Amino acid sequence: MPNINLSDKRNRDAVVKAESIGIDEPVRYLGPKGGQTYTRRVLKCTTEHDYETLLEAHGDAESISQALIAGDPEVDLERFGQFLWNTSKVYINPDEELVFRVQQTEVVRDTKGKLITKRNRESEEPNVDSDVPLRWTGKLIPKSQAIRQFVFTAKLQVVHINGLTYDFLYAMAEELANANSLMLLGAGEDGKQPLIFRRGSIPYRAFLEGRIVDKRYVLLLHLSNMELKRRVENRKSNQSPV
Amino acid sequence: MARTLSFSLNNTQFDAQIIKVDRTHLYGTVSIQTDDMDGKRCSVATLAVDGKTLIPKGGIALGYINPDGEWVSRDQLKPVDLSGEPVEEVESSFDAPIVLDTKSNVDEYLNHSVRLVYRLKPDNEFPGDLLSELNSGTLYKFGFSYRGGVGYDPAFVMSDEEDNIWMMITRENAVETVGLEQAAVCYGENLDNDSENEDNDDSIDFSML
Repeated sequence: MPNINLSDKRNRDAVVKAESIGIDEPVRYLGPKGGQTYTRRVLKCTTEHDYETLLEAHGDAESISQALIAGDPEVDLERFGQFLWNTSKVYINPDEELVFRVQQTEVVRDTKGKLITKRNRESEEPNVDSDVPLRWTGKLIPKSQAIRQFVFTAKLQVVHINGLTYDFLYAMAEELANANSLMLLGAGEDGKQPLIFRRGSIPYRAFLEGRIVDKRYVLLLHLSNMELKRRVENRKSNQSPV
Repeated sequence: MARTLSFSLNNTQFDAQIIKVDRTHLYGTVSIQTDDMDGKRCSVATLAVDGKTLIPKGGIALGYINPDGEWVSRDQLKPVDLSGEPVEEVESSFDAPIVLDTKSNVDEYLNHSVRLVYRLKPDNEFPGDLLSELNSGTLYKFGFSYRGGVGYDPAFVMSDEEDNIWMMITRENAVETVGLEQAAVCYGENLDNDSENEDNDDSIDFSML
């Protein structure tokens, strides 16, 4: 779990832990004999047997269909169905050859699918455990307002690593609990940048919530990359989000 | 065409279309185009452990096997919970009205991560009871399953500041208090992978994400 360098209202900072709190799948599957089953990845097709290769070999779709009736050109009986492990993601060109050097471009489209720009891909560096701590922006948002303004898609629980950081985090949780509000955190020198946990990963806006029960505390980092608002209608594209 | 869900509140039934909202609808998209050095478009494939077998997209299947390594077909699988008790299969939430009889609160909602966001659009009008409850800050919690199957996802109905009514499909998190002598329990949630920017005033800019 990632370390985060977090500062409080007084700009005192400390490195603490941010732990995942998602619950693992609560359901498992038993086979007919009662034993636990496991999922395995299985080879279903290779580039030597895919549609493009068959098209090249047989000329047209009609000829492929005749070949499928006459035999099994799409199946490698020796290999299809074998378990897969230690596989690697690679790039291939239109000739289905391995490519070792690529150039990547980001294609930016608006909500209607209209091309806005193309630009070189740049992967942002992580900024949650750098020399510059995450800062309280001073933007305190009541909880009931925050849940109606933002979509919190992920959460991390901030926990101490020693006695000193326990006091540090407990005080933070107490202050936020008393305010019954979430504090917007920011990264970078200006304290306004979104949080990036891994190189090239999704940047998130982060809101810190505190709760206390006696001498125990909860500090939750609510992560959001989306506001709660009506969508812009008439969009056609179905690509990955900005 | 948006699908319609039926709800029941205080014995009053009403129907509403569910309109999915995600980042693409609000901010547009960024897709990654990959070319080789000659400018030919590339696609992602999988290389098997032998270092020569190339597997195209869609060329890998998932199968279930038992401890003896024997294939188990999907219809032979029996879902059980972590203690080994059989799990009852649930019907799709589109098959019967969803009863809004459980009120929730902000803290409970904040213990959940939102997976999917739907705006509810009533076929006629929302009942006055519902609107007044939601506008006063009430959240309703219920179990939701799109297709039916094993278990429900926790879902919430709530209103926003512009009086839109939302249905949030979530997953629960294990939020536990932490004391001096105790570190929090660590479970496994992944933060996804995927980016734009802007910086001018104090407003929170989501299009830069």
